[in-house]
Amino acid sequence: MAATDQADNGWRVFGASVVGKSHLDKGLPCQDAHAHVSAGESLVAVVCDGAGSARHSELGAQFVATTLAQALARRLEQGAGIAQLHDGMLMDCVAQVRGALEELADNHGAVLDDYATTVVGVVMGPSVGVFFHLGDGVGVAQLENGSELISLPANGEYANETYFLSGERWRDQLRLLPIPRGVRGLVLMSDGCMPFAMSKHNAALYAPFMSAVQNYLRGVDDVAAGNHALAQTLLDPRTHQITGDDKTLLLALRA
Amino acid sequence: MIPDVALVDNTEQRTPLVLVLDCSGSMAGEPVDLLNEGLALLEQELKHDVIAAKRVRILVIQYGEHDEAMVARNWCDAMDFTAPRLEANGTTPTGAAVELALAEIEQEKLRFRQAGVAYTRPWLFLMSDGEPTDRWQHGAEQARAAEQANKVAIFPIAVGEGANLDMLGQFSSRGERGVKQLKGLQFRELFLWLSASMQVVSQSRPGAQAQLASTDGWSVVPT
Repeated sequence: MAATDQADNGWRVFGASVVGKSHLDKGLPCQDAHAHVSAGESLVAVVCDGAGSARHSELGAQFVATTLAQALARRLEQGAGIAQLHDGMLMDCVAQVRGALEELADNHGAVLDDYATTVVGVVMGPSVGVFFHLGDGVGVAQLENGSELISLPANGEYANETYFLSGERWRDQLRLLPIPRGVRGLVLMSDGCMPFAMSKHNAALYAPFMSAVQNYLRGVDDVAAGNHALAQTLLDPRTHQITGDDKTLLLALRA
Repeated sequence: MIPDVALVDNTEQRTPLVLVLDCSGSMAGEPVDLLNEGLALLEQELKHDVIAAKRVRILVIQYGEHDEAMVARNWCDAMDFTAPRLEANGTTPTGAAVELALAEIEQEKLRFRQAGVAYTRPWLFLMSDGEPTDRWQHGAEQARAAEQANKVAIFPIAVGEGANLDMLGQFSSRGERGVKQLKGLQFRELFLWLSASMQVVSQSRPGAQAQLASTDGWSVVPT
């Protein structure tokens, strides 16, 4: 779980990754991770969900979330625009991070699949942005005109299977979705949050949950306090009736 | 904790289960009675699990009579399922029964997709105690192809000494290794296992392998 610092570029970013009930019961660690980095007026945020069946997936998720956010922020600082990211640079960054992960696996006598993780992330500038997405999880842009743009999960045919960055066909499975105008807020989540943070069929954010969360976070003075409240909410025992999975929610609000 | 947060489950997800049950004359008496008790147990166990009751979707196909395969219970969520009381008589059209099951599965998937409902891989339980009386090879070929294409998981179960393991194996992409031989008439243990497995599968998430219990409680260890 990466630190969630107060951004100074007009964004306030809150995030929490908490361990799920079934992982608690089995003594497994939280295999979700999130990270964000600001670069000038832009924000980069990433949520990763490590595969439950992979040996070191918590490390894979942390590594990918952190290094991918940093790599993308570096490109932005070097002057890259959203259009360039969309037209190849983003794919290069993901390839670079995947290569570094493979090296990490090699150094530990493991294989890339041992670090299997999904990726859902966003690069957002003042007026345009882009989602990048491999596997499940959801990204939502709350546009200035009040509508929502949603980057949906893609799992193949079955609900209990998905794609991972470690997969051989990751280039085909990585999807980019341009955000054509400015946003009021961005939400990224792992699939553990989807049953209660999204409405049926993932058609929209589920307002009875999300509005309460966003209204509360808009009112807090301190990001650390907001993160704590968010984590406590995700750990609510009522969620255990809904999912045994790890839960990650990252919210970026325009200040 | 953040106040006034609604926490409800908006997931629309289904785990299809198709039971294809031999109701030919040779099942008459104790076997079909125990099979019926097993079905009643499945109903009860799935209804007791709040998530499985909502997510598991059941279709029961029986085959017997004059080479007839028919729907004994149409698709319904486990919470609405009432176990049929099957009667045994007639012949063993195994091929026709499996063809009907495979067609029903693809139709149900189509309805899921049209309604935007996510689903897990359907399970097809094929139970038989004897020799098919129809031209079953075509159904077997379809079954193997469907399983190889990951459209369905098929579990052939041999009941009693008279079951043809070689024939049942041809309905599985794993051949005879895919066939389980029921210990005696332990339908109760079989359906308890099936219910527990459905509870696991219906709640499984991407990337986590479903941990299923061993089948030792009801199946003979292959030699």
